[in-house]
Amino acid sequence: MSHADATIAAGRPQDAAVRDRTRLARRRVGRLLLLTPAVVWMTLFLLAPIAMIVYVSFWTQYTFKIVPVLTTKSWVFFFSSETYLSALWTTIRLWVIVLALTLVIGYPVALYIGMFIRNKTTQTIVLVACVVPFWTSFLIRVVAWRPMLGTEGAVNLILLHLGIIKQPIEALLFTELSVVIGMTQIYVVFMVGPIAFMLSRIDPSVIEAARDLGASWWRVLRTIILPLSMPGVVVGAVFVSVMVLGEFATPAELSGRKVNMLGNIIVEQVGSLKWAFASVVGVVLTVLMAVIVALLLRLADLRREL
Amino acid sequence: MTYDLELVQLGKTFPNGTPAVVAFDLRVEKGEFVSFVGPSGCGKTTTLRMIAGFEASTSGDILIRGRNVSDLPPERRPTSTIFQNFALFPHMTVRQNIEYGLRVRGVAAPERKRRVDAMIDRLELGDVADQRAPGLSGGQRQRVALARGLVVEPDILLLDEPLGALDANLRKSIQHQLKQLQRTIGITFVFVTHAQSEALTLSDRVVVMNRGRSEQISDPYELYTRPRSAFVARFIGRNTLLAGSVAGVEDGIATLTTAFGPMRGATNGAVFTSGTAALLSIPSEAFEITAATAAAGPERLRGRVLGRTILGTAVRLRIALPDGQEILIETHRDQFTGEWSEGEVMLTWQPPDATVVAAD
Ligand SMILES: Nc1ncnc2c1ncn2[C@@H]1O[C@H](COP(=O)(O)OP(=O)(O)O)[C@@H](O)[C@H]1O
Ligand SMILES: [Mg+2]
Repeated sequence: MSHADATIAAGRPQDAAVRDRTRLARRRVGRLLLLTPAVVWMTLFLLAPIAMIVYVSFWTQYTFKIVPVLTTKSWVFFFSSETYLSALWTTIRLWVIVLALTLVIGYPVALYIGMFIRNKTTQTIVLVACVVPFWTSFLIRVVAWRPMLGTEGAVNLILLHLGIIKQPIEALLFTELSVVIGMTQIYVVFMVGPIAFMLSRIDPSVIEAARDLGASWWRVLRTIILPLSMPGVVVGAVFVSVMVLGEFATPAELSGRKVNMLGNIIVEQVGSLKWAFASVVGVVLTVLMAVIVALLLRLADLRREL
Repeated sequence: MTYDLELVQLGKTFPNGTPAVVAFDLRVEKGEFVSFVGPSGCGKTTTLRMIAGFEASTSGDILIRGRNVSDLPPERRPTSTIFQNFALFPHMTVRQNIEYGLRVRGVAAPERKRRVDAMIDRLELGDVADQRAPGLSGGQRQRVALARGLVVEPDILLLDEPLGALDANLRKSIQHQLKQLQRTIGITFVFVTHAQSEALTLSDRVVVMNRGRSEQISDPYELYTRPRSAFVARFIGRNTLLAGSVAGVEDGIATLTTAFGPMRGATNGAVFTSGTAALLSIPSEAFEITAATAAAGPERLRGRVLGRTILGTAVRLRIALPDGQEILIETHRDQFTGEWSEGEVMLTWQPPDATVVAAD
């Protein structure tokens, strides 16, 4: 028995059923209209440019111009050049180090804000205080590290005065260490925020229940607090990762251009009109970010937890 | 003899100066079901949290099986707590929740499994053993919380309004199961509730609390029939209170001078001197209703019937006393005659059924 027969058999005129169905369909289309602005925006300014970059990465590069003749030359050049592979490696290395440091430094801070400041207003004030540095420009924040870390900078002067060191530590500025210090300081709040938020949502009686069952503080931290804060860790890690992977200003300013990340390569190539080559690096960077974000998101089922 | 739980002059004043618990004395024998009952804010939760170790006491001692645990942290006390919201671990399955305490204690896997399985069986949680806590119904959560607390075999189970989060129908059947469970495993339960009916139904003994103090510790029958303070007379049961002053005491029966003339009630051992302000507390069950022909006198109150509700074999009457007080009295349908159904009635009682307590 077909669907139409069924409606007739049920004593309902067929055109009424059809009308119902079209009304339903129309309602569904109406709902989808809500997404139109976002879809248009994303297509114009995200998907189209990405597609364009992928396309341009296969164009032929001449000294000062590119022509739309497809070739894999730029790709081959990237993967056979020591400089560029080392930039890729530097990017991954700095990402791992900075992510680890922001987590190690940020988690205890988040623990303090989220668990021990029980007053919501104080919690908000402290979190806002963490973002105060962001009221100045990015460049100023980066450049401000120079008088701190230089050979005659504040850190060295203090250590010298205290007699902890005899010679100023030169490794503090214009090295990878200074880049790590700078980036960790800038990005640690993005780790603290989401974790503190998740921690503040943990029901205190759940922690009491664990202690009641005999768990020590360390055990409560490991088996209750840590797992329940995982979504915050993942969100924080995604923020930090995306920002660190795309960095170019901090390494440029704090390493005296000695440390080159993929972002620095892109800036340099665009500056010398090497569009095809910049596109290759751009695609590599985008893929790297996508893979890392996808891996991070697998660590926690955000949909269930949030 | 050692008690399972002993509170000695236990007190707690919060840093902000709130005296939440004052000079609390209590002795609980092994296997007893003791309830703390009282209005909201009277210090029930604070007392329970001090026993569990979540709040530090500011005076007095807590002894469990003779050992002073006052300075031990919660993880080292032989108690398990059932929290009002059950506080299940949301990221674990039912089985993992129940297993937690045994894992913490380092119980070996085979034994752990045996004990958890037994608990899952006992509390009929087999169907949901592998589900996570957030998806469970109220009744299931409550059973998981019980299983999780009991599996570690505590000396004392502490329950803070564990039925408060459940709907009324479920509450009745779970009350019964809870009592049953306590009887079979035989461990001491300390149960906090603001509902007197729950306390009276479940407990071997009830502690009535008021403003941080324990007003009376009695078994439910005694508490119901012989309140020892005005607060208890008001809080427990359905008592009619008449104010007066003590005129004299003879053979354990005090005579009060009230606005309605002399009235008598039992002193139950309390000592009153003549002239002290007192209250006569008459349980609604003690009243006998007769036609209003007899003259008023001792143990007689004139009343006017305002309305009635038929409750099957009983009839509930709403009666106004001469001072405007309205009382509810249930009487058997057989004794209910049309004669006094709408007008004046006479209420009488036997002096030993009423209680005289000091006015507050
Ligand atoms: N952390 C606290 N700080 C200050 N006062 C508190 C705190 N917890 C409870 N109180 C006060 O102590 C009294 C007893 O509270 P509680 O034990 O929760 O009462 P109950 O459980 O009987 O409703 C109340 O007056 C309450 O306001
Ligand atoms: Mg309470």
